[in-house]
Amino acid sequence: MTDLIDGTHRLRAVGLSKRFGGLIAVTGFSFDLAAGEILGIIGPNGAGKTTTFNLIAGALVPNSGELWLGQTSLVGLKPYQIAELGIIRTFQHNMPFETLSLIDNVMVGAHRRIRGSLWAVLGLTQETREREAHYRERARELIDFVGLGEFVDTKVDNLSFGQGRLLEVARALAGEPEVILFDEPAAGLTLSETEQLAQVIRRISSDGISVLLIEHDMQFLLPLADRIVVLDQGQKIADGSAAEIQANQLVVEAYLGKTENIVVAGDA
Amino acid sequence: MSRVWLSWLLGIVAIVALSLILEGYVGNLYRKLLLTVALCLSFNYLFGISGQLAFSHIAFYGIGAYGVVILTYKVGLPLPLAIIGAVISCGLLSFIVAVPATRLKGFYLALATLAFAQLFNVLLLQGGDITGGPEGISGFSAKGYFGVPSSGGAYTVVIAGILIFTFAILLLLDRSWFGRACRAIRDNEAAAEAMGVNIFRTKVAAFVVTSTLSGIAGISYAFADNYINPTVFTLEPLFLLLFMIIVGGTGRHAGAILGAVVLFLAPEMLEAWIGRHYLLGFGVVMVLVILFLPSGLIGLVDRFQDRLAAHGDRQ
Amino acid sequence: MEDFLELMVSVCEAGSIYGLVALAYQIVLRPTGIINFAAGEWAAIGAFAAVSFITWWKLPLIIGLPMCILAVGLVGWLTEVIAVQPLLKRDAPELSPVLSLLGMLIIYRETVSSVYGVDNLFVPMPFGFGRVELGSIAGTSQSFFIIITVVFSFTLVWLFFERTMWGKAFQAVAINRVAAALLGINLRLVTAMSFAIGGAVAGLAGVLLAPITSVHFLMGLPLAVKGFTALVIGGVGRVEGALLGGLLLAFVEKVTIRYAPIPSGLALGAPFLLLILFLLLRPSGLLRARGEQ
Repeated sequence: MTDLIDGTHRLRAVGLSKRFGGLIAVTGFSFDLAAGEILGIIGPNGAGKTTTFNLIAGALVPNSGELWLGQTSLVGLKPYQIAELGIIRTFQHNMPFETLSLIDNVMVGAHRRIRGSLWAVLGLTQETREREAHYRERARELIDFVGLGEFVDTKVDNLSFGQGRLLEVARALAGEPEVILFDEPAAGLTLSETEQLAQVIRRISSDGISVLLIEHDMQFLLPLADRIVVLDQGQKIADGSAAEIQANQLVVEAYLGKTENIVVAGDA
Repeated sequence: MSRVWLSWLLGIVAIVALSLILEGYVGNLYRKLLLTVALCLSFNYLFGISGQLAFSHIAFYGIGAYGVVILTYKVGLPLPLAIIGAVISCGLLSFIVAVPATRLKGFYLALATLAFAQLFNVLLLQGGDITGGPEGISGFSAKGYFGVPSSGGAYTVVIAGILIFTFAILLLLDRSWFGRACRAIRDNEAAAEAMGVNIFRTKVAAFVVTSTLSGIAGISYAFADNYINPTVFTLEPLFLLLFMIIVGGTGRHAGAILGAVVLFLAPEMLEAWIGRHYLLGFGVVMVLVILFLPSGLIGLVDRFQDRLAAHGDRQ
Repeated sequence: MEDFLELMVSVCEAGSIYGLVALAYQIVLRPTGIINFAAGEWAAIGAFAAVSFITWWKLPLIIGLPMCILAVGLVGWLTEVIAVQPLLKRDAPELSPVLSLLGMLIIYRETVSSVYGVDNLFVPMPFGFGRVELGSIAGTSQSFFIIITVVFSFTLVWLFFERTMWGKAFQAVAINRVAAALLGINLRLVTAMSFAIGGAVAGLAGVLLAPITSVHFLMGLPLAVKGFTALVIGGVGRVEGALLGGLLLAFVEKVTIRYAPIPSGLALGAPFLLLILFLLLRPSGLLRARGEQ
């Protein structure tokens, strides 16, 4: 057994494997994520990126391997329990609560911080009301932070696709997470929206929140990620800085083999 | 703030005053209206806010009514104990139904709870001496408890109190993190779960609370007529509740109240013209509202108010 | 033994009717995802059409039956045009069509009661009251007529789904609406067709049922519940599942009433119990759709 808890690593996977019937989606995948680190996971389609995400978020249960948040094992926990521990995910497609206002969308994100006892449900204690007020204030700040301040009390259907994505970021932040999982956050965004998103993610990580990113858009990922892990056919084939990854022969082959080109340094 | 409280207070005073003033046929109608509004509010929380289309709501109304009558007049418990017993029965039974049923999606939940409601009705019809079979139970009354007579305006005030209690509970729930979680689940279950909302527990809690509130309304209904029978607790009144909520505006308390009042009074007002064909009218109105007015009558009211406000701004 | 065999004939008879209603649900549900609770009313309209065409106008069965089926098929198509198509076009929430169909249910029921009144009506047995005996299996001529017609109809629908281009289009839509549209399948037409065919099938159930029961405006809802129960038991993905579910439901129902040591009124609860059990324990039904594991 390796030493799992050394204090500097917040999220750690050891030998993570997942099979669907005869298909091996992820095998023997290990990585760790430090506090405030931005880790990118890249790889060709079908490499097991989304499966990895679903394993961490509790949507899938691994066939073998370990998953730790600090000293807490995540294997076998339900998605809401994992969120409760402070690992919040976003989805590839925007998933807003359509009938709620922006502020209420973000307040749902703070669920794990606000929810309480029976009396708290009825809002009859001073403490609940204060907590509610505190997080409502914070939700407003977060909506300002992602640049949607003018829409705060309107419904989500007024938002463009990119704005919807930023709302999801604000919602994910509302619960004061320790780790955020982003599933292709830049997909479908315009260039300026992508830049804004990159800025927001940098600031998130400078606040000490760890960020795990799946991304196809290399122009977005390479300058942003502190470290990159490359998956191919369910296996980790490389792990290192953006420069190291781009120089890695295996990585280039994996991508060229799939006709999907990695953007070579200089563009970024 | 104070203006808001004042308007709530005025509303309560009006409801109670009407309870004391209205007598005879109109008084009886008013009681039924209060009960209908209470049922619509709790069903709206279950269906409109929490997104669970359950056809068992009227069955729990019946379990409350039959529960309290059986516990007092067949078992012989004193009324206060019987009331507590009936409330607990509703809570327990709704929990037993909710635990498996809330795992079903969409209309499958409706059909499982429909089967439960039909089973309940079969039991009422076949319950022999305990339920009185198709004739139901009559000739009971609740006199002399807490100094509240079980007839006349004073009892109407009790029913008004139950409506106000129901509304207060639902409003507090809706404005808390719990209400937000319910609406979030209705809008997008996966996203709500990813935010740490325990879907199962939230759904079950919403189901149990609203079903128990329906049962409490049922308890007060039992002594409104001092007569209960199975036809009151069939699928028909449940369809009516559903129509009222959809026509009024799904997911909004004001919509539920508006729909209940309009559809409850419409047959009374229009009887001279359309006789017993009002149900046909309900069906037509329901389909039209779903097609052309997805936010219900209350959506129309909103638009009207917005226009008034815009008009006021211009002047 | 003879008693049991005769019971089995009546199980097949009732099961065939339930199976047809279940099939009507399925034909609509598969391409559209809509649970059409008005299917029971369609069957009731079929029965009332039989009252008009066969009892009142005295048309022979060979003309009356197709006319009834056609009439209810038209009702099904109209249902889609009025209560479903506008919602699909607007991309309304999933539950909206289901709810508007509940509204249509009330409209049909109340219209029927306005036109035909609230009294029981009757349709004559097309082949009289004679008994048919095949060895030790015996039953009324109507029982055998129902069973044969239903087996024939199921075969037709099965062939339609499995062997024709149109059936394949339905399947494609059932699997993925967006992809089917990209393949050039006319979604609008498939949806309308599914309601028309569903209506025709439910209407047939009503016509077959009419001579062996009293025709009454409240007959639709119980049929809707029975048909849906049969659908859940058999599974929504296969044509033959609907028939299997109908037969199993009828079996449980008849056997409980005949043999279970409980009052027959209480035995009426058996189908509901069965529905609850299947929804909770085996929501996919007995037969799974092809291609599913």
